[in-house]
Amino acid sequence: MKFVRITAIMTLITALCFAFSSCSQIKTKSSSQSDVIMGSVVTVKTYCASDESNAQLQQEILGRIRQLDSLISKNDENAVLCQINRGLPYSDKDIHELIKYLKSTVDIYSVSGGKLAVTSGALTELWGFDNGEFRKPDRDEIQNAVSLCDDSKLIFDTDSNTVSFADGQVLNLGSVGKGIACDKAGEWLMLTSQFCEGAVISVGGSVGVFGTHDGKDVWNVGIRDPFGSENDYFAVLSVKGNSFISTSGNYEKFFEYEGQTYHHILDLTTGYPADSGLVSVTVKADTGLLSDALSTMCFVLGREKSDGILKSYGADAVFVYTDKSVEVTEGLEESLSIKNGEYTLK
Amino acid sequence: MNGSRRLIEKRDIAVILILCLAVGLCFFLFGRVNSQKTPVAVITVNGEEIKRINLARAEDGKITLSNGVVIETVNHAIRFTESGCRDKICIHTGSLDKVGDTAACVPMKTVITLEGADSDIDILTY
Repeated sequence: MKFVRITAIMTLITALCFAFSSCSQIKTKSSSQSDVIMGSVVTVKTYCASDESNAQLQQEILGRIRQLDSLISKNDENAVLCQINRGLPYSDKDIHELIKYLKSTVDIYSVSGGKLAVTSGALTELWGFDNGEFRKPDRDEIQNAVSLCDDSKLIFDTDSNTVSFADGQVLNLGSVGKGIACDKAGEWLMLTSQFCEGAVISVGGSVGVFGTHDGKDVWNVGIRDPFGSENDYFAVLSVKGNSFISTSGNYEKFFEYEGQTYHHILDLTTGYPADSGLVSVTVKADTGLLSDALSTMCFVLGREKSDGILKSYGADAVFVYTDKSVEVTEGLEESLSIKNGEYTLK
Repeated sequence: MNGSRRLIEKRDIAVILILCLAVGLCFFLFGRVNSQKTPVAVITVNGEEIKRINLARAEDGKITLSNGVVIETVNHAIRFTESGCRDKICIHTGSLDKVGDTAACVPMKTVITLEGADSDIDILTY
């Protein structure tokens, strides 16, 4: 009888152990990988069934972003957009994709009253914001470049998949490229054969969150403290999977000249850095291209003009002003929590 | 079944309960240890991971990478101290000590990220 009892107890414990261990087997593993692509740090964190799946998926996503860069880079001589800008022969393998990005961006910026455009390259190159050789151009140079930043001179031919533009104009997808890279990551998650519950990607601070992590469907996205250092955040946005979040801030790229600070987000109607009293705008939208384009546009246009535009895209935003006051649109009110006491919500 | 010999007696139930608790506690503790690991600094050059440093156990010291970039660990934190790039953003970023912290020398394609489970945010937008 004693033997039966011991056997019964042992069986129970074994069953218990199995129950526990199978619970932990359902849990996915996570790891991340980083590289420098598009002149930015790209970090991919994945939550897959195995370490091998994680590494494989991260490689696949990084590979697709490198491929994207060789299509839309304005500065890389081997990239298609660069070759189009310079009137050189180019491979038309993915040209329909490039045309799609250009058209979408032109569409979004069309409501900015000329303050933003896909033909911004002549001006951004003049200021040296693309290659890091910053300089303050003189007034005549700026006037000349401003006249070239005009999307109405673009002609898209959908049959032949070509785009034509005026002499001196330079096509620039710099303000949306990181967001498009986040879109690429999202697309690949649908196509990959790896079994994964979710992933998060940052392409130079433009963020995409997908699926779940450890069974949780809420992702916490820190918003960079515009007055702090690179890794500081002043607030956290809690968002569900398949969200795209981008931030445009005057702290990203800037230089000082004769006591004045010049940042990289230019108003194409004046030719000078935009001055709307904002230090940063963070936008949550349905695609990365949209969140990137809208954050730049809202930064340039300011809160008042942004509200209607955001609404028309079902997007939301967090606006941060020089006095550390913060405004948030309705859709993000519940999701935003401020972590730094120096900031006040209006 | 006259009360003298049942299959499971009260004493056995107590033993089972204690064992259940012990098993549960083991899994709980094991899980905690896993989720509270201290930051591990991962250094990547050209997308290749070249070094992994557990900062809790790291001694103070300098690492010179083959591309000339110098990285220092001091007091369980890690930072860039020398780089051939022009803007020195990587050096200005300063010391990294929390999970999720990142510093990068973009021209040298060198990135330091701090991995680990114990972080209040999943990602940073900037």
